[in-house]
Amino acid sequence: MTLCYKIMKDLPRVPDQFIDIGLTLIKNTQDISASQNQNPTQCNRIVVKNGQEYSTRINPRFGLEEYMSDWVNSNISSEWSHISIADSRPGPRGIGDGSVHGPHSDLTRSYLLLYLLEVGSDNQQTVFFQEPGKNIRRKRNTTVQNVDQLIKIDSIQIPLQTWVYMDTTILHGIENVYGSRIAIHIGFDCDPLGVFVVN
Amino acid sequence: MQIPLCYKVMSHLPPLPDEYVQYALDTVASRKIPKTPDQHIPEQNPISEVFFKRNGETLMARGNPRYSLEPFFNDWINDNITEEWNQIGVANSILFDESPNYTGDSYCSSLHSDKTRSYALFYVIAQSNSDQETVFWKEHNKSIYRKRATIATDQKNLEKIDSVVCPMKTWVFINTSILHSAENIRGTRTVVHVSLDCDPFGVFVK
Repeated sequence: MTLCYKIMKDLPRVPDQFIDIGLTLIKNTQDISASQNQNPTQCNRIVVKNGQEYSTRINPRFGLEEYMSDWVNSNISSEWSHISIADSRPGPRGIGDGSVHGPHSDLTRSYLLLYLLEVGSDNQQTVFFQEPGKNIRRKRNTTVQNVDQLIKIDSIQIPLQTWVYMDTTILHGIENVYGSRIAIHIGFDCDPLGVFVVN
Repeated sequence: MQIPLCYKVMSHLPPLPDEYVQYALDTVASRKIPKTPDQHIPEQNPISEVFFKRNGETLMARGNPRYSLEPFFNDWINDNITEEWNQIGVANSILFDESPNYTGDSYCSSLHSDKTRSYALFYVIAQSNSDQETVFWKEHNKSIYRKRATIATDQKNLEKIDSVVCPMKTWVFINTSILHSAENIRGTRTVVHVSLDCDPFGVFVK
């Protein structure tokens, strides 16, 4: 079975000082044009789930490199491509209840370590999919509109303040997100399993 | 130390039809060979002067400008190899022998991880000598997999972990996030590249 995610309990918790910096950065940076990753076309994306249309949530990400690089290099890995804080929010078109981030492969990285800081609902799920007749791993920025046509291959309810590895070349989406969802992201272009300071 | 998969000869993947090989050779032939890095910028792999130490001697690395083969190749690659590529190109190893910094005989590329991709399929279509070798390295006290565009500046800090002589006209998978170099290039080395950001095992058509 393809490894979609792995909970990395051996990796250390993020010190409070960096969490405070990240949360302050989000509070002070509401303009998503400052985001590292937000593809403008994603802002208007509609997905279909259970026959209903939803504006997909967006997940603008703001850089933490200038604050966290040394800590990440010393405690996680020096092979990252970006370090950021992501602030998931409902899509601007306002269709549906804003609880779905539609299936996609990531635009700016192949692998991710995610560290969830805040979530507005207890039952949020990160779901991994395969498109029938297609490969499990996909080129960057692949999106699928109709969730109902996909095969669910795995899912995880990501725990708070725990590093979780994800293969972001596999189609994945977030479901049951109500309110905020804020996470620190460390992006990788190389397979990070094997590059961690603590394996 | 457990050595990961650095390369794999993919003999089961179909050979490029002759018309595509010729198109790739014509693409290279139509370009003026840069004699210094600033003479032109290839679309797919920006080049620069890179120096490194080997046995205490400073060498200038060969350049490897890569030119796009899209869209001519797209359908054939989609139908026969994979749809999940991010670039298709042809790379041609060169010397920057008109650079004022040229160090003389230079038979190898830099010791590097790639700048624009995580994985690649190589398909050698022309070579001056059959003992050209792709060598994989690990830097002491560093991970095997490295962030993009990592360049090692002194070979004494590296351990050779694997190598392959890529056979002519055969697809070879290369994990380009592992430090690697192309060695023993005594003249021509022209290679079709299919670049990927996702682990390609599992994505091949065959």
